Amino acid sequence: MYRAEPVDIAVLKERAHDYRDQVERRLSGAMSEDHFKPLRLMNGLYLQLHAYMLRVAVPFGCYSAAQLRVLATISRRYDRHYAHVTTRQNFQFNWLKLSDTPEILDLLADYGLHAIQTSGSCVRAITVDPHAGFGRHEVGDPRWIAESIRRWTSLHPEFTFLPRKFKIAITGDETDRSAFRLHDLGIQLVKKDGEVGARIFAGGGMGRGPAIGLEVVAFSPIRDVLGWVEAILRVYNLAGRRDHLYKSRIKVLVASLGADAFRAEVHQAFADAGESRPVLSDAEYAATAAAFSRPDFAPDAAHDPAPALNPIQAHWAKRMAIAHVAPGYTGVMISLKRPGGIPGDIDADQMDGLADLAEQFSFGELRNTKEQNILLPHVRLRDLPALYDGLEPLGLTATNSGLASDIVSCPGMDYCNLASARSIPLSQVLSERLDRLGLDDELGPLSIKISGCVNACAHHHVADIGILGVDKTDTDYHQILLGGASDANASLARTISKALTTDQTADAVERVLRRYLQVRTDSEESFAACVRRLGLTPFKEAVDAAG
Amino acid sequence: MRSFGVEGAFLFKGASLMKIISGNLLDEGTPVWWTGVAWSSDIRLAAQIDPKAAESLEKELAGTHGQRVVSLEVVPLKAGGLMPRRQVIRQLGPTVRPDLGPLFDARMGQAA
Amino acid sequence: MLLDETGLEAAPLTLDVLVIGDTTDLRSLAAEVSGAAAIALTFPAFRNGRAYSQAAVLRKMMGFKGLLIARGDILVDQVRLMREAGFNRFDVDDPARAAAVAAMLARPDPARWRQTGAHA
Repeated sequence: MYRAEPVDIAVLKERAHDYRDQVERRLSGAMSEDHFKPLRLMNGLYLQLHAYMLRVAVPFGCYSAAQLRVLATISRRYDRHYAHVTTRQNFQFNWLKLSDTPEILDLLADYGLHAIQTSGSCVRAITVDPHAGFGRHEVGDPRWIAESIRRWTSLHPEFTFLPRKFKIAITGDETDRSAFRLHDLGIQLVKKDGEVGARIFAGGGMGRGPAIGLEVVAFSPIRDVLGWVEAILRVYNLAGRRDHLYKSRIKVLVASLGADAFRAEVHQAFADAGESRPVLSDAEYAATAAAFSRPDFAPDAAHDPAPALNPIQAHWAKRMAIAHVAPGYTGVMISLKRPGGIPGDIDADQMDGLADLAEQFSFGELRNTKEQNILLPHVRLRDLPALYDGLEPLGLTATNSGLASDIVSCPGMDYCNLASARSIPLSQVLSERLDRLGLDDELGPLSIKISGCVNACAHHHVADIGILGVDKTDTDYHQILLGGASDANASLARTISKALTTDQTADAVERVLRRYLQVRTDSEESFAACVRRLGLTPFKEAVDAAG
Repeated sequence: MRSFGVEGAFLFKGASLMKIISGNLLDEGTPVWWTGVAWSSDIRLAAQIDPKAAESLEKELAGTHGQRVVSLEVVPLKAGGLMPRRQVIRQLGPTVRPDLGPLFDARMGQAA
Repeated sequence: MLLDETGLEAAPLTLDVLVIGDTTDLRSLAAEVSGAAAIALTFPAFRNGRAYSQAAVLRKMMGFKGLLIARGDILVDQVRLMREAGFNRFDVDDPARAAAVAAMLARPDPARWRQTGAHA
């Protein structure tokens, strides 16, 4: 768990104070909307369909029980008794009043939370592998370098008005759960001759016009990582387009320069920086690492007898437990995807209940995942039955992590100004149907992601089955895409259907799933592997075979 | 749980190609529509505006009312005078959580 | 009106000012920069942040030590970051905005998280 120091809180309190002053000047009329809007965006406050929406930055998706409780308090006092987990590991409140936001930011600051740089043309909240710090095959904990980069890029004098937003993802594992190849800048910690360093990608993106990034640096010592981040940001800031909203991301710059020329520019900028280049000293990196305290794992946990799980609990544990580096411990995924529920939404009572369980069973630590679920990172295996019994009355025992019914859905037109269609109703139809058909286990690992528009906030381009909302006759229509992946087999999903209504889409997806079951070699061949082997044709045929 | 449908809601007779002007209240953030005289949170009172006049009216309203209403938008009505769905959703609340819409405060007030 | 980095009104410039546009590649102006005592960079719109990087290149890589002037659409709440980026003069026409800029510059630099690497 990251231990905030007094200076960390001081920064947030000062920001909250400045923001309060700005809101007062706006409400009194001393400041115009044109002047105020960029300032409120710098503090993560959007104006959406229904009210103001605040996006709270959850650093690397990691937070404490105490922080979760204050979020529950905020949801009750200022919002509508729930919060939403986003596809970038943050929390969103959707029903805020402007004049309440200074108090909210003050309260968040007291708990080391904020909404800085969750909006605007700057470096956004950095996302990491949710198994950080406990995954068995981790080369290095990605949070240490993530925190170093976060501090360095936050409120950076040079990089506060980039051409567009800039998103960074980091993993410390060979198996990638961060989608680092699909970000403006991505880092994978790797080992070379016994030293842990960074493999650096740039120019990827999952939004409008998705792109897989290119490797810019094969191996950078940790001490040079900030220098590379600076070089990439500087090249982007100077050369990125600013004339067209949809041509301003770094992926467009990379495409127009070409991979080799872009790489050369970055290497030149790195070299040119010379003495001014930021260096992450060993001492500083070690201090940052030390700020992430490790839980006091019980040494005798290794000798715990196997937990006494009843059949339902055993099925849940099999699906939701995550291999852990400490003997006798496990990570546990909490799915926020119930049949017919709203993906990623969690109500205030659930938040408080989960905070209690995290305190009791997970050293007070929780993580948000980009699949809109919550993870308890450090649960003692023998506590699984008690944890299950605690989750059950909260309605948090959905047993579908990584399965078909674990659907990722953006808020869509029910909430968002930008949407072309609603997303949530389709996810409800699909999740109810999958529950009724009981196909989750048989289908195996499978990702369905539903975006309500081309901004692709649900990352549908990198889903096994991606669904895109389209604007047609002012009714919900969707297109189905297939074959996306964000891991080492990174690929962008391709469209296999024309625009279909919500019910037609659900029927077509069901036919695609059944076709997979028919054509896979055996139950070991995942959906993704099957599509790679057979291509899109059999699934396109299934979509078109409406009867 | 199913969402409510919004097709066919709020039909303005004979209003094809006309426009309405929407905004959000500066503090509350809630949606309002220009009635011709004032702003209202009831979309049924939205004034139908001739498309030729809409842009300049929007600018004028942004000037005179900019301290109370922000994020102004000129919204075309659909063919047949139908209200675009996005506006209906703004009026009624999220289709998947109708309990969170405009009735929320009233219900919370009753419960308190 | 020309303001200095503490928010005080500075005397109008008598030096020649090298004016550099936001899309100019500074590498092509090495000779001009080394001979200049004052350089003006432009913010065509406050959201266009190229000049922050131009300032960084001038100060950190090209060793420019003279007056670095910010011109154009200067967002009041951003001027302290401009100062940190290397600007030490602010050219603001509108008197109301100039007053707001001066007041902001009179404040110390914003509080920072623990320094990692170096900004300056």
